[in-house]
Amino acid sequence: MSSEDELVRQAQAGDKDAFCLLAQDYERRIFSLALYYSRERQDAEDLSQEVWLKAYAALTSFRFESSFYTWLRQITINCFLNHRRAKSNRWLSQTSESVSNEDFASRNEAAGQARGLESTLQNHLVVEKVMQALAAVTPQQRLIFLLKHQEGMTYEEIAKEIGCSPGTVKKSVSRTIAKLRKKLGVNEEPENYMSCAAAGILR
Amino acid sequence: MSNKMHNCKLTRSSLIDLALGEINPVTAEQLQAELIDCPGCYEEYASLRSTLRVTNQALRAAVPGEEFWPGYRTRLHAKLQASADAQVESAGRQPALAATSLSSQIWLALKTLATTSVRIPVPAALALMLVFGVFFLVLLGREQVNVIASTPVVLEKTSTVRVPVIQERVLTRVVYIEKKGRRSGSGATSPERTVVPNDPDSVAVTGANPALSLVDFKPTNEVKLTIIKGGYKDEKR
Repeated sequence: MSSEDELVRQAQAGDKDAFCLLAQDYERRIFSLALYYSRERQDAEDLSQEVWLKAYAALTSFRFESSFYTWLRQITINCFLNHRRAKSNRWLSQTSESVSNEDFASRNEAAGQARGLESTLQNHLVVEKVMQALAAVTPQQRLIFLLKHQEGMTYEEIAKEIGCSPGTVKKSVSRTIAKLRKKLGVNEEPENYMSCAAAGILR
Repeated sequence: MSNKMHNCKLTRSSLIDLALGEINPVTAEQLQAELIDCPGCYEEYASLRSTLRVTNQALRAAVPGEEFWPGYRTRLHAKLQASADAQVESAGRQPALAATSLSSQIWLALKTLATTSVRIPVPAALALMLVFGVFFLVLLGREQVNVIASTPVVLEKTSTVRVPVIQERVLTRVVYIEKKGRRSGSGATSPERTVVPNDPDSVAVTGANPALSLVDFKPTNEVKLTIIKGGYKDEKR
């Protein structure tokens, strides 16, 4: 029995600390998905913690028929689909203060200022452009793109989870990529992609 | 050789799948061979891959740094604790709930049932609504038939009832009396004659004089009364 299974069993028996240890293994993945989906840091924290609370409440229903993360991802997708707060434009007005500036500033401090100010600005602009492109598609299209691009799920797996056809998933992914292409203006494949996209933005 | 088989439109429709790793290795290899020979398709593919890479890097860059996570874990732990406390509290309320009356429990169950939401695809929901609608209409139609069937049947029977009608008839009897005294002067002697309409006896008497016969006489319902002024003398004059 793996250590993860052991932690799951302990958590099923009511051990909160075991559950918190389990959560630490996947907290970044779930938070990242929530952040890309909601495009706002506070929403992402609320959404990801809601996922963990639901997982904790439903933990007794986990039968070890799939991996713990596959089961957790199903809960995540359901949480995201039920999350119907439309804040499509909040990223533009708030991310500069909430995510981008604060995070990049603190990250750079923590990393010992390995990157220069120019690099930080470029990253900031590219992140903003990507988030704008993701804001231009529907929540479902955004979720489908994230499941494909970030989670590496197949069209069939996504279709099964979302409850639509693989054709719809494929169309949705290509539509989101088209939006991203248009927004980022990437037409060539240089060594430094971030710089290229930022140059396109700054032009 | 691959140029003869190459179709730019067809190839470009598969480029996203190729970039996302959705194509099996054999087909992927064929596509990549085609891309080498077609600069336009290759440029398209390179652009797609660049977009996905930049997106991936940007999304990774958006994730908070290390200093964020301790606070996140503390807040999550607090929420889990609050959730566990709420569960314990609700479990403590269970015996009290069991002691409540059966009706309140049924009411609570009904309330839970009414407020429970189930996710259902829109086409399935529409189909269900349609089925329920048709079922309701059929049920309604059947109830109307039952109502019609349950009403008492009224049979109409026509019968003739004789109602006596009292009819009043006014008969006017005209009586001519021939006085002996007056006829004596003319020398003609005739018995006293009385003509009574509808009286057979009077007809018998009048049989002697055909001018006064009442054989074809038919009484009418309408009585015409003619007042003749003057007497016998006036008529003779």
